[in-house]
Amino acid sequence: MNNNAAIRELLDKYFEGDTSLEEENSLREFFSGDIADPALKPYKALFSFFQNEQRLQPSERLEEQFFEQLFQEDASEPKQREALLRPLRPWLMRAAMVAFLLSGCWWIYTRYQPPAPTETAAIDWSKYEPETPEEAFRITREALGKASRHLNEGTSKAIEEMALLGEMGKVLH
Amino acid sequence: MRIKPVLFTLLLAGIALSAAAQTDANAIDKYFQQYVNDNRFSVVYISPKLFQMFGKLDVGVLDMDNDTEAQAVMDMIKDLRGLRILTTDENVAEFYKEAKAKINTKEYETLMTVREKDGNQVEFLVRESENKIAELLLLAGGPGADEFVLMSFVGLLDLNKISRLAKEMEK
Repeated sequence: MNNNAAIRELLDKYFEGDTSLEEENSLREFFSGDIADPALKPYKALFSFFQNEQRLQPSERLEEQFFEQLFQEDASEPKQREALLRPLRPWLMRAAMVAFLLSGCWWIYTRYQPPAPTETAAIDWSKYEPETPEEAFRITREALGKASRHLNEGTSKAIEEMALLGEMGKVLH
Repeated sequence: MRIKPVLFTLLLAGIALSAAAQTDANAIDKYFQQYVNDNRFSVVYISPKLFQMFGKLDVGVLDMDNDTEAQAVMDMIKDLRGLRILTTDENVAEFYKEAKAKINTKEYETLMTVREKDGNQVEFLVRESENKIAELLLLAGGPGADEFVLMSFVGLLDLNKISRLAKEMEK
């Protein structure tokens, strides 16, 4: 009983953190044996747990496990990056779409271009230019005059004919 | 929001393509290359550069009847980007028939056809772009005509201005 009272005192000291290493050892020793006092029984589990833990040696796989865990964390990092890029994704898609369309247009444009220059290059029009601007002006004026005369001729004829049709319409009605 | 850049690029591409297609396109390059190389034809080409030089010419030298006519001609030349004329006095009826058959009527719309009593025919064709006349083609010949003429005016043309010119010349 006296022993039990001493143990209780020690326990109180232990939980306050005031025990010395020797006192802690005596506590451990005490709890490693059979405990008769039911009030002290619950503490046995506590001290035996500490003792078991102390006995554990770091396993050889500890290092391996540590690195495995490290790499797992590493692997999860790209996911984080992806999460960061997610709001940018629609823009990336748009940019890609625009780039695709532009390249398509460019392709069509470059394919479309070649025939035009070769066609116009076939005729070297500069050969047929009048030598002086005066001559060129005379020709232009004549050409425009001709076009103009014919144009008026056509319209006036059309007007005449329309008038004639109108007259015929009157006769017929 | 997402379609906008797409539409924008398509629009840009369309503009680029139509601009590339329009540069200096004319019916003679397209359909009448062999006439240009044919010795029976006389060929004249007035370049935009020459048109620009007209502005520096002395009107007095040009034996113009009046200033308004010169003004009318100058006014029309402003809009022109090229004038090409092909003429021949051989095989007139044949060439006229051939030329009419060659022109793509989907691209060139007949504006009017005038047939005179002597068999001379004149046909006006226009190529439009964005509802404006981009090229005026005059085709003259036919059986009985003594000359085959093919004229191509490239540029934004105003038919009213052309029509007015004849009246100025008659003054």
